[in-house]
Amino acid sequence: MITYIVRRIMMAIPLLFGITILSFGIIQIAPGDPTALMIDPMIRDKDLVAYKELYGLNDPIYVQYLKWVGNMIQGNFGDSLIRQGVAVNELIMARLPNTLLLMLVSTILAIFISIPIGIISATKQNSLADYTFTFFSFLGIATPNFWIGLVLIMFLSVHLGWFPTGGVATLNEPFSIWDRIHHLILPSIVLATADVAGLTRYIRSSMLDVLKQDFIRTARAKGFKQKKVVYKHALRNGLIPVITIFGLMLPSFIGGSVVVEKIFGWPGIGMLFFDAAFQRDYPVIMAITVIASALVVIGNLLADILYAIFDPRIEY
Amino acid sequence: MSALLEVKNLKTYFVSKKRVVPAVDGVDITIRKGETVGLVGESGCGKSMTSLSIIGLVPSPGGKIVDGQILLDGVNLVDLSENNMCKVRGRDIAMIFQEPMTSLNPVLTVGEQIIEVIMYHLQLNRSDATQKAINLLKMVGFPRADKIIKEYPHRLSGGMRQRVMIAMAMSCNPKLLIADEPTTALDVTIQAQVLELMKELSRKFETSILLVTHDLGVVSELAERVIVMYAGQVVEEALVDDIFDKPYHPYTEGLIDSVPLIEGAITRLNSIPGNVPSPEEMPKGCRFAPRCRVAFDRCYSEEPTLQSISTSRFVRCFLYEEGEVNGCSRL
Repeated sequence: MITYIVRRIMMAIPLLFGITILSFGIIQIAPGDPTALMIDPMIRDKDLVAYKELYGLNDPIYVQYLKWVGNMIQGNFGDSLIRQGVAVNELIMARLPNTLLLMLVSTILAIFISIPIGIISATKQNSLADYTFTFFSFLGIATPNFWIGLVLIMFLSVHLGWFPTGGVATLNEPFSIWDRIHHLILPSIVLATADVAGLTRYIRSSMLDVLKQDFIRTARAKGFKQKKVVYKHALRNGLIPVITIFGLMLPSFIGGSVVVEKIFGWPGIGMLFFDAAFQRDYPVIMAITVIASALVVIGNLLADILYAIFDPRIEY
Repeated sequence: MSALLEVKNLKTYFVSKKRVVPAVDGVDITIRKGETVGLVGESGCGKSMTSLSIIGLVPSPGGKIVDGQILLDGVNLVDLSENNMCKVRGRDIAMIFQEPMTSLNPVLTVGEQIIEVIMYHLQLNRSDATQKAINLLKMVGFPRADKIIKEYPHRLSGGMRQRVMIAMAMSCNPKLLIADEPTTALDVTIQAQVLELMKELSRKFETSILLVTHDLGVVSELAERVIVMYAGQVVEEALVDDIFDKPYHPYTEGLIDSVPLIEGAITRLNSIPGNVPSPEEMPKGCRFAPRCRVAFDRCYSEEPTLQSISTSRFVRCFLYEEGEVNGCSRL
């Protein structure tokens, strides 16, 4: 098991390098560069060249890339081009905890909501409850996050005033857990919605499949009641295929959080990425890309480890 | 010996919006204490559905027992609530299935799957139940039962899994064991071992067995009495020696003829032409008539009833009306 994990991590390293090369190239193709935003339009060409020279933007792309990789390996993502003199590491470390908190809460929310719904839909297939859940699942999949976010802000925050419209905490007030939770509720619900909708469908079909298996009939023949048959014999088998989906879902939280964080003014990685992309702040974009790619790799690895834990037939 | 199980006029139908499919259509079965009865027939004749009806596991929604009684020690199981039926299943009536490869839960250890039944029905604590599970596994022929108990099903062979299933079924000392094609998926030497084991256990614990199979060899090995089913009905019932000696119903005769013989000249294997009619298109008259070698006019217009030939022998055929035993001419 340990050797398997080590091997997987070793295999991920070239993959990560591939991703950085691609994304580095793609950003360069995008029109404009950081200087376009921060420089006085009346600037003389000579000064512009000097400016670019200072940030190494005149070097050929491969030289820029190699310099960047050299620093990255040492754990240094460079300085932001826009917020001058601020290290990218510092920017990220200030915001990463916010994003991780949001991700964690919405993941837990998604899992704890979708598993029971999936089970009910499967055990009471074609019932009114099943149809209702199915309807809302498709609605949830089809509705964009930002729209749900805006609607919730409008009704629950602006009209009813139940929740704050954004931010992680009330400004100029001492830290309180309740205040933090209060701010967390809406963004995590919005972030969890699409995943609940998708996961419910996966769990439903997977459970339906398992409930048709011979060993379920055996469990019934032993005299167990429906509850025990479903929770002890079917659920663990039914969740095995869902683990893959879960592994794939993990990195999508970063993507999802870009929009949600922007809407809720949540000072996290997603919002940082959003702003950096518009300002062509290369070092910030690259740092977040590396983190997101690492999450993809970690998500897959986690899924494989969970597989082995849930399914005794799988050994590494 | 008194009757342990009495199935009277059992009718299990599948009802959908479009049609009603009678899978089991008026079946009577009596099993005495300690007796092994073979229930024989082709695929689709309703034998599996009969056994699932007895244990109360007819696939639902769709399947339903619409008429009849299933008396176990005088208690009508059809009338029991689901809760009470759960107490009967696994304790009074246990069942083993055809596919040992898929009948065990892949994510639970073999031990856990036996222990959970013992704890559930006999209210033993975990350590006593574990000890009992080890003894059961020893009884079905695992010498290192304390090791096997920790194994997952995928590490065992088909024969081993079926023995685990038998240990599981016998764990609460059931009055009736329903074995639905217990050896069909196993190779021949393992088949013999499993049959031997079932025979031994039924003698030791006086367990009655309802052996559901299409394999007449298995029946002759294990059963004392045979019930032959065709198209949802019983067509013949007899002691096992009698039926092999002289089958009365043309269908039984066809079944026995289609078993290859080891001794004697090698000839073409006989078969019964055609298939079991699908329940929604039952032929008029005798259900077997279209495939019968000796059918005559009456067979196509009237439906025969189950005639009593002697106290242990019944047949559903016009050839034997009013106790007149001419027999169909065996060619």
